[in-house]
Amino acid sequence: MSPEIVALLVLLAGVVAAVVFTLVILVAVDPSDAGTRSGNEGEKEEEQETEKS
Amino acid sequence: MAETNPVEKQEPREGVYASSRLERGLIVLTIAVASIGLGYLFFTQLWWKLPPEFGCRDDFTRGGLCFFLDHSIEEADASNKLLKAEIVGSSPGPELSVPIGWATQLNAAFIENVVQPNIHWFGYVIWGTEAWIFLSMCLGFFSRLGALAAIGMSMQLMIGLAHTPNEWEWSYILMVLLSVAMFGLAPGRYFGLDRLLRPRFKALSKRGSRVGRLLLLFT
Repeated sequence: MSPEIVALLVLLAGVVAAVVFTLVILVAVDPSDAGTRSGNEGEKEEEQETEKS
Repeated sequence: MAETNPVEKQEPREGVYASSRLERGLIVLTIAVASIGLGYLFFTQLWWKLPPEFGCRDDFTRGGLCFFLDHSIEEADASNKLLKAEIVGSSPGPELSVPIGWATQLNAAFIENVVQPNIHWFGYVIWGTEAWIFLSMCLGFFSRLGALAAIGMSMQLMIGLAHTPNEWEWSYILMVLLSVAMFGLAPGRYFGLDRLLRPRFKALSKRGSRVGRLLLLFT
């Protein structure tokens, strides 16, 4: 196999590993204790402010 | 006694706390473009130094990555100044500059004594770090850690090559500055996988998990 193909496979494996890791964390960890919701962190504070008012 | 103006309270807030959806969308879009752009920069540099040869020829003595390592050593004594500003064009040399001689010498010593003798495996470290920066910046995955690696890599390039002849120093300095901005912003929080991961890591951290706290730092 040429080095280019190997490199592409390594990068592809990296993408798959990142997605799988994220999915595992999403399934395995209960976020209820976090006191925050999933979403844009900058937007989140704004939403919390709106809810208060 | 001064009264608080109620109109002032309703003023739309700015920056990352902008209340306008358009403003927030623009912020997320620009951060995503900058992050993916930085990732793509490192992606383009992966292909001329592919393992296992890293573009080197003649038993790792010239060409490819080996050429640039040699170049950094050879040019360690070159101008040795960065951030040059020639305010009065007629006078010889820049009026403003930052001397980086000690850094270029230190960098050359590190390359000569550590990197070059171990290029067979150190090449993998260099290539792997750049591949990691690409993945991290484009996927928004542990983006603060990715940006930290980008700062390290860009700083090394800046110290080794920015002052050498026929190089525009600002191309390297801008790489460092963009990496620093990405480190501060942690772009994955806006568009990437970090956005999904952080609430979970926060939960782990609040339960007292050290791993959770560490992972939270990296996102």
